[in-house]
Amino acid sequence: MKLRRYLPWIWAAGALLAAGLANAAIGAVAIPVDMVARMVLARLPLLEIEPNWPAAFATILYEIRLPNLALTALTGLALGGSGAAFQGLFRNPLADPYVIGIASGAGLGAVLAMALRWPADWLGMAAVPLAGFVGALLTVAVVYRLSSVGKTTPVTTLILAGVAVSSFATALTSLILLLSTSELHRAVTWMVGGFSLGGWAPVLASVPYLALALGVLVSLGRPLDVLQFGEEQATQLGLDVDRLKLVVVVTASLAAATAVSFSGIIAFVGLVVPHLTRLLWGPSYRRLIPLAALGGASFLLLADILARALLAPRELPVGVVTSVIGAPFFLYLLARAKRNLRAW
Amino acid sequence: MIEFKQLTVGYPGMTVLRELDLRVEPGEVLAVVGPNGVGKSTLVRAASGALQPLAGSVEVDGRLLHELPPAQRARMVSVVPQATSLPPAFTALDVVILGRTPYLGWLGSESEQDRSLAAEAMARTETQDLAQRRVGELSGGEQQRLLIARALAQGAPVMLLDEPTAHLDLRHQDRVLKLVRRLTNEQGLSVLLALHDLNLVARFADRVALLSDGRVRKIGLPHEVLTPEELAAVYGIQIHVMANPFDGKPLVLAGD
Repeated sequence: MKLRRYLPWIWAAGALLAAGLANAAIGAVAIPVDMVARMVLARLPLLEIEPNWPAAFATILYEIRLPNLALTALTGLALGGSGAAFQGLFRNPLADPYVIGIASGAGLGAVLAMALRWPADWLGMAAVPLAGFVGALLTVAVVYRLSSVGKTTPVTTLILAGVAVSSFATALTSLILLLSTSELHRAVTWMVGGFSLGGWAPVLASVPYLALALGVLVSLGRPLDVLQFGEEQATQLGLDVDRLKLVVVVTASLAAATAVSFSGIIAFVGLVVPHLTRLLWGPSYRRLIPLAALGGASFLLLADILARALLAPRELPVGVVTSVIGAPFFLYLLARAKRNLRAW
Repeated sequence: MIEFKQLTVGYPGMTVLRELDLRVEPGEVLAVVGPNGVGKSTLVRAASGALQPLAGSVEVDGRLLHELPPAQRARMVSVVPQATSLPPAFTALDVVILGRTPYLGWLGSESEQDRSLAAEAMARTETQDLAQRRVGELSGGEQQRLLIARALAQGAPVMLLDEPTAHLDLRHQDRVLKLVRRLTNEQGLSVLLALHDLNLVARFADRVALLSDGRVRKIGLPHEVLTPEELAAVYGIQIHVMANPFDGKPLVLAGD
């Protein structure tokens, strides 16, 4: 009985560990998994491990793969967690930071901030994620207003509004990029979700935002469960619905905007992962949000391996991989929603 | 005890109920009846605090309901909605334990006491055997009893029920209303029951309020309100009332 309760967490942690080790081990230069583990442990205090690996491995692992791995995992945490929270907020399994246009809105904000300071070194500065955050909030406000019918948010209007607002934001983003010709290539890669920035700076810069946003979201599982019964019942059960919606929108947008600001637009992680998590471990948001965050990290670490391996030695942007996996999944969900609108 | 004083409620541009005075005592079931659209559901929404009154007030045990924050309101008034569109993947126990929401706050989690109160509510509504079943697998009657259990777990002195038998067959109608009647007597609840079926009202309600044109047309004991004259005037068709051969209560028949 007790074990069953911890089973989801054991699975999620195990999957994350395996995905992380694989992500660090696989690449143009393969590093044996046991050596990866020893090299990571060697960096921890109190453990004395004889360094018996080639110097090249140390450079590759410590300076390239581990920072990339950390940023990938953090981005996955943010996308999985915020995707689950948006689904709970909209009471709609098709809500995802990308589908409802928030990622594009955050991208527009972030690119605008970059363009204004271009080509100054913007990494580690607060301007980009903050601008992304503002873009995300504006987008979610517009999409929510456009798609609400009475007190519900139907699938069709939500997606239509998301597509429209997203296209608009993307068009503006493209315009800005075209006008600022320098470093265009890097920005385009960033737009489709390439972790091409490198180093520990973006990792450290994104941690405070994500810790705050995910910390709040994880603690809101219970009120989100209450909200699943509809706003009226939630009010009658004693929930301050308007305040809850505001807090969820702000924190989930912050998480999504941080992910976009540091890693670019990566679609469908926030859709696929919470959905699979729900199928595996049930609908309660108390477990769904943290498990979807962990699952998002594992999923993105695996997608990142594919992105680096599929066309090696060329690297694909990881957003291309998640879209190739996520878009058909999205269509499948849409087809199912058509048959049974309340299937979840 | 819940009391409406000169309550006027409605929606922007449309007043539904005007200057309503009603009072439900502890241990009493007051049935609210009237034609479709007369405002029974609106009354339940206003009485739960979900809808702000346009004028007048709702008081529970002497406190103005609409001036309280949602959590405090939910400790005083529980609502049993129609069992439609419940999230199907939640378990029955998940649903009932959400009745403890007004005592927990956003960050709280259920204590042993909350769990035992939820279990007790399920025992009283004979839903304890369903605890681990998913809501989507349950029948309409089972879902309705589950919602009553959730309302009981709220521990509020006032319970509002909006058409709790709407989609139920005869056996489940009987079972749900017998349950409501028993809980009212045992726990001294003040129960406001919006119900279409006048024969069920006659069997289970202590008093009846007949709504018409946004007002209480008549209020009193079932045999005082459920009369051919009153009902014909409100529903606009010919209505016969006879004594039920089994219990002597009014039996309402429509038609020429």
